Amino acid sequence: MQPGSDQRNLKFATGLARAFAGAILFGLPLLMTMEMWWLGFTMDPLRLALFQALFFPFLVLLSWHAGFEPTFSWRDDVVDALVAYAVGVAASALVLGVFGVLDRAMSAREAIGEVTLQAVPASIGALLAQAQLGEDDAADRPEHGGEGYASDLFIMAVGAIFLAFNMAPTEEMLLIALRMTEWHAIVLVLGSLACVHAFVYGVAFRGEEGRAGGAPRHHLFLRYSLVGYVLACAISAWVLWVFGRLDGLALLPALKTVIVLGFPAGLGAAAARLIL
Amino acid sequence: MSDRSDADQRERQEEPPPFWEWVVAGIGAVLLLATLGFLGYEALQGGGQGAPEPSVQVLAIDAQRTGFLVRVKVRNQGRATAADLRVAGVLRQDGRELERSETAFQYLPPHSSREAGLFFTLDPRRHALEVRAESYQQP
Repeated sequence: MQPGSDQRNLKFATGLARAFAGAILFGLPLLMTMEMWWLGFTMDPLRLALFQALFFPFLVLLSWHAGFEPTFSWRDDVVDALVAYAVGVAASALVLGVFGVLDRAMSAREAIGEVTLQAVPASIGALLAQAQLGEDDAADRPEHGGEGYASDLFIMAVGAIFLAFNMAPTEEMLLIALRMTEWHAIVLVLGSLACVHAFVYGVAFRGEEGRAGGAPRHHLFLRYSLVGYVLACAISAWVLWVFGRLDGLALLPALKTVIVLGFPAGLGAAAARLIL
Repeated sequence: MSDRSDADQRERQEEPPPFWEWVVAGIGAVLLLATLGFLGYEALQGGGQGAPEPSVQVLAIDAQRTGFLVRVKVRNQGRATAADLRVAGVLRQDGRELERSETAFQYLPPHSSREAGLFFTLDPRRHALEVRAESYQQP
C-alpha cells in the first residue's frame, strides 16, 4: 500500500505546514507583546505549570471539535493536540529567536518559560488553522465535535479564551479599570451583555430558521447570551489570575479589571459561534 | 455548526431544554445580578472620589552580600488610585540624613497592596529608618 501511505504522509505534511501558518498567525500579536516576554520569567512557575496542565485537556477537546483529520477516537484527538502543541512550540521559538527576544544571555528557565507560555495561543492557532483553512469539504467531515448545549458553551469558551489571552498580559486592562468609575463599569457590563446577545441572536437567525421560530427570545438570552458572557468573564478572571494581574488587588479594582477584559472576551465568545 | 439537517434541528427544538441548562443559566443570572448590585452599591458610596492614603509597612530587613535590603509593603487605604507613587527610605543618625533610597510604584489601586525593596549600604538596623510615601500622580 505504498502509494496510499505516501498520499497520507503528503496530506499530513500539508496539514502541518498549514498548522505552522496558523500558529504564527494566531500567536503573532502575543509574540510581539512585551508583557508576554516578561511574564515568561516573572510568572510564578506553579501557576504556569497549572496553566499548562489545564491547557492540554482543553486542547484535546478542541481537537475533538476541529482537528487535523477527521478523528474518531480519543487517541487521535490526543495525538492531534500533541502535534498542535509541538507546532506551537516550534513556531514560538522560531519567531522569538528571529526577534532576538530569546538570546544567549538568557537562562534555560527563562527561555523555556517564554516559549511554553507563547506556545499556548500558537497551538490553538495551529489546531484551528486546519479546521478553517483546510481544503476538506465540510460535508465530508464526519459529525465529530458533538452537538448540544455543552458543545456550544465550549465553542464560546474557545473564543473567550483566545481574546482574553491576547489582552490580559497588557497593562491597559488595569489602567482602564482604574480610570473607570463604578458607573462606567455598570454601563460596560450591560453594554457587553447587549453586544453578546446581538451576536447570539444574529447567529440564531442565520440559516437556522427552525431555532429562531421555536425558541423564544428570552430563552436564547438566558441560556446563551447571559451564560456566554458570564463564562467569558469567568475565563477573563482565570487568565488574569494566572498572569498575576489580580495579585494584591482589592475586590473592587479586581472586579473592574475582569469586567474590562470581559468585554472583548464576551465578543470573542459570541463571534466564535459565528465562525467555528 | 452548519452541517445540521433540518430534521435534526426540528427535533432538537421540540424537546424543552434539559433542566441543567436552566441551572447554568440561573447561576449566570445570579452572578451577573450580584456583580451589578455590588458595583451599584460601591458607586453610590462615592467610590473613586477622594485621595489615595498609602501606608507603608516594613516587612523585613535582610543582610545581603553587597549591602542590605529593606522589604516594604505599601497599602492604599484611600478610595482613589495612586499612580507613580514614590516611596523613599531614609537612614538618619542624630538628625542627619545618612543614606536615602527611593522606589516608585506604577499603580496602587484603592485598598490594594504592593511590595517593593530598598537597598542600602549602611545597616538600617543600626540607624533610624524612616520609610514613607512622598508623592503620587493621578492616573
